[in-house]
Amino acid sequence: MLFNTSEFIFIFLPLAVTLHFLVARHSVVAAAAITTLSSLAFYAYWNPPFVLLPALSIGANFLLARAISATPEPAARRLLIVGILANLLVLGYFKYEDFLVAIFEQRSPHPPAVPLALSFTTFVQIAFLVHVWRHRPSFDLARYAMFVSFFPHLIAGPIVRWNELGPQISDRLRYRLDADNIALGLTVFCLGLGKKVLIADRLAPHISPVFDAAALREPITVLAAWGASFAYSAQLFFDFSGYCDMAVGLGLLFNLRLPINFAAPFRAASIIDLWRRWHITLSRFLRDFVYVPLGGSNCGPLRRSANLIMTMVLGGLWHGANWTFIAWGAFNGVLLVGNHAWRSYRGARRPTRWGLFAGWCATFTSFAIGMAMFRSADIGAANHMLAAMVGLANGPAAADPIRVAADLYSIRHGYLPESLVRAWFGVNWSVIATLSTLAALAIALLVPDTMELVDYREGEPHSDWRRPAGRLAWRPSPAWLAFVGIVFASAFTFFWEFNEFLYYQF
Amino acid sequence: MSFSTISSDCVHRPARRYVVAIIAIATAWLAATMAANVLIDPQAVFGSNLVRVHFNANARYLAFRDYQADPDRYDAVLFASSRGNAFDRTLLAAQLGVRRVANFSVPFGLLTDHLPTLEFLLRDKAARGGQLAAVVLILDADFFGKQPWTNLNIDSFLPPQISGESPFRFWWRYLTAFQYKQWKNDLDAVAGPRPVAGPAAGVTGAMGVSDVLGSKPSLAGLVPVWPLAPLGKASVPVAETFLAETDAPEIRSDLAHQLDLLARFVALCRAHNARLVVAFSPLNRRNVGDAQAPDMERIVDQVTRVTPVWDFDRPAWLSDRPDLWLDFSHYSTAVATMMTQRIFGTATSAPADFGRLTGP
Repeated sequence: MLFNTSEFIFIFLPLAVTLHFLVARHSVVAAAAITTLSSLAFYAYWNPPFVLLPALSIGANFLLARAISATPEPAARRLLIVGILANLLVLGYFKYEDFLVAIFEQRSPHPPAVPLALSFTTFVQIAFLVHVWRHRPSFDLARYAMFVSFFPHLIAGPIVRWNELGPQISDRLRYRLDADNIALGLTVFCLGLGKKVLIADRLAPHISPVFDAAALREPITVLAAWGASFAYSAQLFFDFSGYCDMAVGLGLLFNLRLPINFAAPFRAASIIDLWRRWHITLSRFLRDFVYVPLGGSNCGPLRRSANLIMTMVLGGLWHGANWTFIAWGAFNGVLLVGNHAWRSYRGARRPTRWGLFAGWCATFTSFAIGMAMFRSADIGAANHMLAAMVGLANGPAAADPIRVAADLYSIRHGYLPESLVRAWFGVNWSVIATLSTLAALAIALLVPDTMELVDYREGEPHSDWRRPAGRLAWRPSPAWLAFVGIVFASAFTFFWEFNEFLYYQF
Repeated sequence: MSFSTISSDCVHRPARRYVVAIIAIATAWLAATMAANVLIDPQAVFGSNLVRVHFNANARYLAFRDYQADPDRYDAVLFASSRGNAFDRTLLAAQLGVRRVANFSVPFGLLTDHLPTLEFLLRDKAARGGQLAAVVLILDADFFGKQPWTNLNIDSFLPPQISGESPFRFWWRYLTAFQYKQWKNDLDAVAGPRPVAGPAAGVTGAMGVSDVLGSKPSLAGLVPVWPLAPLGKASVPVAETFLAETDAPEIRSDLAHQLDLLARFVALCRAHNARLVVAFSPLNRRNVGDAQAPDMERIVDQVTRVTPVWDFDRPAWLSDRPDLWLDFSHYSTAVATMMTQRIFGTATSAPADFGRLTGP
């Protein structure tokens, strides 16, 4: 089930919330259990037989955690290693098995049929096992199952930790309806819905033709290549941050506060800062469970650089079994190494305003280049896109028909010269697509983020990204009600489109 | 104790009224949408009949409803794309020696529609103690193997009894789809004549099969005039693929799959002792040019390897007779009658080389 569908919003969600609080009147443990069942039903709606996987995984990890908790060292450590390996083995089997076999067989891998949510629940449960080994917290099956399966974060994060969500689930006082949280939760949910449905999904049809052309090695103009890469950057941001806003909003309906996952990353003036603000909970997982165990920053510059690149490559690979993700991870690792080197060179000097602007330009441009690799169907298509970005993939032949309909009206009515569209935009990109992308980026850069508007700070590693929302700050006022109502009603008109969240595929 | 994340100066504001108002707005919007869908009924699935012209009717559902109205009177079935609506089913029944032929000619009908429908009909007949005596399958060489329209768009979902989809999902989709354009088009048609509408002889009084044709003859009139993006599990790129393939004669990305479905279709008929007649519709040379002829022959050849098939090809004499065509894609009842006569070996006014039976 998707958050952006009418059956979720009008049937599942009211039922799940009502059941949770009704049952909580009698028993908190039963409420946690019933919400776990709701969450599994939410999962099963996608593919009923596959619900066995999270159910078995939760059961197995619970037993393992109990064993770790009750076992002295060094046996507990061995159990932990077994648990981590078992989780990774399941993930690897579903996600990377064919990719690895394809390498040996020297063929192209088939698209893997990865069970929904597997990547996210694997990381949540690995982090939990490590937490249990380190801190030996108390937990029971009902609360643990709800912690892992809680539907707002089940499919695509944020990747929650037991120390931030576990105590909330254990807190009896949270099992009462709270109108303030519901008001805030509904607002955050609707804003996320707007990001996803009204912005990200509107960009999607413009992007596919260019990347499809790259997959077929067809000519792409420089403007089309850059335009599609910027557009995909914006689409991915609004899609995933919209999903995360919705998850936070849904959590609030249950009086549970999920961590934020995005902190206006497109405003970052360095690649280091950008990765502190993009998919925050994944970055922190990779830092704590990959980068630090590899030695982190407590080693020489060469080793640290290797650790960074390796962490980012693994982060890329986590997104899927494709060389494009590995290349994207390595590219970002190199950028981070370069950024650290630049910081060492500059020392403590504060950047000037122009320096910040140059940093922002370089950061955003690098990010878009990375996105060209990330979105491409295969490494050959990624190469083609990168070649197109520097003008090495030639424009279209004069006889090629313009394949995107967006500009045809303007061309037919004489508002746009066809020769201009062909020369600059090619047959797969359009003036409308360019304007839509610019509008989306302007919103990302200039309009306060949802979390700024509602002053939500849960799980925020730092707050220096925030800008005061001023008079725009959320309050349960008629003006905000009208705005949220318009956003919801507008999004509703697109519900029939059935657009999955991009991060569901990872 | 409150766990509100709102800053302290906001905590005491009227959150409760705000929540109630948001829920009321959302519920009212949903209710209005449901009411419009039931009253206007753009896909003609609710049968409300308040608006009688539907430009985006679900012909698959309507054909099923026609059959369900009196299933016992049918002992044969015609499967086809919208071209199949040209057939005189009384004549067909007489030639087949059956009582009545159910019509499952649906826009862009392919084996992805026909096979599950045949499976349903065989199950249904068996449950009623009856049997299908004959099955007529009319294929389109210009569209066989292309991305199917089945379950892709709101006008193309198979009934849950056929697709196996949950009835809740099926009906919820039609209740809650916000389809302003469809509502407006249907209401405009009530208010006055509509310029793009074709002949008004749709299934059960609704426009939906041959009536939504005309805007794009090269598509065999199979794509609705106002296509929506997909509603089912298929994602937007599938719809894009569909639209791209309809304009690219050489691309048939679903060919192997549809040949498999055809083999199962033939095997099912054989297993249930149903007489099977398979034919390829004649094509108009203005719609399918000489350059595409080898591709058409390739398709006929591949189908012939599965089952004997009547091929009506692209006769020049037929293409030169506009009176025998509703548009460049759809032939008239006169042509369908000539086909029927040729298949069953009765006297016909068609030239001797019209149609030939080729076998595996």
